[in-house]
Amino acid sequence: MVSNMNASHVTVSGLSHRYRATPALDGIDLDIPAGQRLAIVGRSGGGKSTLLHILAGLIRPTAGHVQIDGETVSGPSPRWNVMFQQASLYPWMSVRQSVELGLRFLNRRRQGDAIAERLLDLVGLDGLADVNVQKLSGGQQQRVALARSLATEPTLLLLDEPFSSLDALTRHDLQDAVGRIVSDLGLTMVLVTHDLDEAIVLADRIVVIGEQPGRIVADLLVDPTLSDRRDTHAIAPLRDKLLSLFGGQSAGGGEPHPHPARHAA
Amino acid sequence: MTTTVIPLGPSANPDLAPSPPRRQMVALARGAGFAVVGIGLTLGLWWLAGLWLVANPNLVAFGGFAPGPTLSALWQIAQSGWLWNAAGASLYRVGAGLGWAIAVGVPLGILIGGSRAAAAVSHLPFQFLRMISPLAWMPVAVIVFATWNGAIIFLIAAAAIWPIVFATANGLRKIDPHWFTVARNLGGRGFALLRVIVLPAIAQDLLTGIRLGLGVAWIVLVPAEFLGVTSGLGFAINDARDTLEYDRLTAIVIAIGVIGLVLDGCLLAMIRRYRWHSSD
Ligand SMILES: Nc1ncnc2c1ncn2[C@@H]1O[C@H](COP(=O)(O)OP(=O)(O)OP(=O)(O)O)[C@@H](O)[C@H]1O
Ligand SMILES: [Mg+2]
Repeated sequence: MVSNMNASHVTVSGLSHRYRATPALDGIDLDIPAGQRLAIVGRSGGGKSTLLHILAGLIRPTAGHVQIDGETVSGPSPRWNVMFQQASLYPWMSVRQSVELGLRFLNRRRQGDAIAERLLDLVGLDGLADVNVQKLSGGQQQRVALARSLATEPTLLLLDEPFSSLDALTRHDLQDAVGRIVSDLGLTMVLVTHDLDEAIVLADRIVVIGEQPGRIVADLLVDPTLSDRRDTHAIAPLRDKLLSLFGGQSAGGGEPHPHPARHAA
Repeated sequence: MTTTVIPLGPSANPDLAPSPPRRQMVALARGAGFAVVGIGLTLGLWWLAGLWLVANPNLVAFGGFAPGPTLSALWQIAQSGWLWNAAGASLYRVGAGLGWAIAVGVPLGILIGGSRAAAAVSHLPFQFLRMISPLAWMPVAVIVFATWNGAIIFLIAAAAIWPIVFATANGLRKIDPHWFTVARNLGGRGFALLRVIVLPAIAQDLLTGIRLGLGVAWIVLVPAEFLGVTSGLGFAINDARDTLEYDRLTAIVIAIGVIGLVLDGCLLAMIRRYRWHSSD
């Protein structure tokens, strides 16, 4: 069902990054096959966003490199886009204008309306094309941001905690929307999150990043036969395993949970 | 799945609900009423002052300042086209001066709004220059520029540039840095980034700066036109004084006020058109 023709193959080799005195990432090696849905989890400050920004070509790494479909990443490209924690929509734009922004930068605005129409349908915002983005709810704004990242028809979708500012129900809906869209379009996905349940729901594979500096401490495949990933019982073993990996990494070993409040299911 | 439609009153979301036309009309009528009262009071005071002038034997020669003679002179110079020639010359100078102020001021504002170093370096010199009346440059302008017109345009530009520089810089500093990350991620670079993101983001501040700049430009215009040139509203005032035509003089003063008001209104309309801030 999923064709990997639209998907990118990502290889990360020997990647390290420091911000002046702060080492953020250290020796990351990662191979992400085309069409894989990868979640990167780890504690706050572990360098997850840094890794994602480097994948997107928004930051140049201090050492190592990223290749996407055999090409070394040296800057942003319409073939991959990031969806950030904040929607960061431009308040003077309508929903349609926001979605078409990437095409406008690529001088492909003529295709804009048709693409925007299709994407707004896909993310469930049909009928809102001409509304100013300031009039939307937080969840709707993130849907616009999602459609905006998809407009240039990327083969790799990078998500940096895109749901963490939303309330539980809205977050749930958006997770479903992203999961459906990524598999419908057959994209490669890299999702950065604090939320273990979210990682389990959306990913085929979960990489745990340890902190200061960020290193890969675990790399797990999610059992593809897991039927209902929202079933707390079914996912409990995987969740416990991930939690213990977190605990093993925390400096004092005290609080084993990154964000207890968020996971009190 | 069933959906329950909860009827929302007009106050449920003031942003989405159009304000009822009735209430809008009432507000409009009230505004117009106050304006009429204001204009009426001003005209009344003016008329009383005119009566006093005519009644006073020492001042009767200045009867032209009264509303009656002034308004008939205004009608006459407007009809003959004389007023429009004078106003045209002045508007050209203000337009050119403002154009220069924008052409130089906006890039300067972007520079000091975008770079802390540029802001720190320029702070003292700019504050210093800003405090000098543009008219103080008049002798210098006359020496430097080959024509009177050039000198006047320079003075107007020198007056209008500062609000434009500071408003642009201020607008730029308010931009969410994340907007640049998102735009860069979507392929925005260089000039496209400036046109699609930066300009709309600062439009309201920029236009407010231009509005303030136009205000000072219009004020500086008249004294600047007292010198050298033989066209424009400033010259016309001086000329009317020399020929003792006080009714024409006052008519020109009125015209200056009205044109200034119209120009300001145009900018206000543009500011409303391009505003997006939910606050201020
Ligand atoms: N622009 C920057 N300048 C300096 N240091 C930075 C910068 N961005 C991040 N850092 C530091 O690098 C480290 C990794 O940050 P990063 O944002 O990548 O972590 P993260 O895993 O995404 O955290 P969170 O879960 O809180 O989003 C942190 O110690 C952070 O303080
Ligand atoms: Mg982060």
